[in-house]
Amino acid sequence: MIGDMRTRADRKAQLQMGETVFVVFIIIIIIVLGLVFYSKVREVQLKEMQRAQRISNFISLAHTLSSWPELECSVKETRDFDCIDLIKLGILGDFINQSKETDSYAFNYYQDFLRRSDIVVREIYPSPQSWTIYRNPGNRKTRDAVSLPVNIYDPISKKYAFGVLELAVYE
Amino acid sequence: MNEPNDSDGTNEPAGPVKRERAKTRNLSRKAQLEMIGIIVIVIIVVTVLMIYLIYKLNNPVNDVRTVYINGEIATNLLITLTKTNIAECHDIALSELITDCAKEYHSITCFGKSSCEMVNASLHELVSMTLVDWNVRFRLFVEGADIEILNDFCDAKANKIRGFTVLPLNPGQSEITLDICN
Repeated sequence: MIGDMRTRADRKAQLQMGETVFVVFIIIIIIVLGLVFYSKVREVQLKEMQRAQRISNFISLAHTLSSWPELECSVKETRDFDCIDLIKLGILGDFINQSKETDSYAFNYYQDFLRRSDIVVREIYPSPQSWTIYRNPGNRKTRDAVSLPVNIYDPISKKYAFGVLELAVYE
Repeated sequence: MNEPNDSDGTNEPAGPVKRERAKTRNLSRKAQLEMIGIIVIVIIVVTVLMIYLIYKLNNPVNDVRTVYINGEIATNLLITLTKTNIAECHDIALSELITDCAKEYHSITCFGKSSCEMVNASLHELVSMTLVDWNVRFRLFVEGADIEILNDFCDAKANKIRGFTVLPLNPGQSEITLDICN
């Protein structure tokens, strides 16, 4: 009888051990799942921060370009908003492209400022035509683009044409 | 030890063994109940997580980029549109044509067309080459000239960005508003 009771106690102990092992195993699984979930959430948060930073740079560049001294219209030192000077436009585009070909300091200056981006000014009305001011897409895949309406002012004929400034930033 | 139980007429063992079995049965029933409890808690947690994720996915955070771009477009477009010289009307600025159209008596004619017809045609042309091409949902309204251009415009409750410019008339004023759906 004593032997029978001891066997039963042993079996009970075994069961309790099994139960403890099972509980520990489940807790480990829960901890691992929690870590995986946390790392995924953190990854999403970091990507979101990266995206916010990219958008901030993009907005800052778009904002700077809309009043860029190299392109803006000015009559007697008075600035005109959302306006691009037709003569400056032609000269700046040629200058940057030539600097890129010769790999001179000027291109490095603009590269430092404009980084990996494309800037194109497109006249829509009355005579459709376009000017590529800067092209440096690199090999990045992510691209943010915006088209901002601008006037293209011809200081000789003193006429305003309607166009868009197309900005694409690669990250 | 395992003697038949005479009281209920079955061959069930009596005494401590019977008590032990009953105890084990009670324990296993209790364990089953606990398991059901854990399953219910897991189901509740998973459901709450699913509801949270679905809510998050269906309500994306207000995109700063979209708000900025729509704001810039709304204000820039009105400024640039009004300054543009219309080639089909002696290179007169669109703002002048709108002003003339909003007045009671029109003084500008463009090769047989009135200033209002010219404003309507020019606005439609310029807007179709920009906002319509970019699939922007908008409503452009020129007060005074009573010109309204709509492109898949959103309902009143939807989030919109408004740009407006005022053209002086003598007397009064004409207001041009551009509402862009976010």
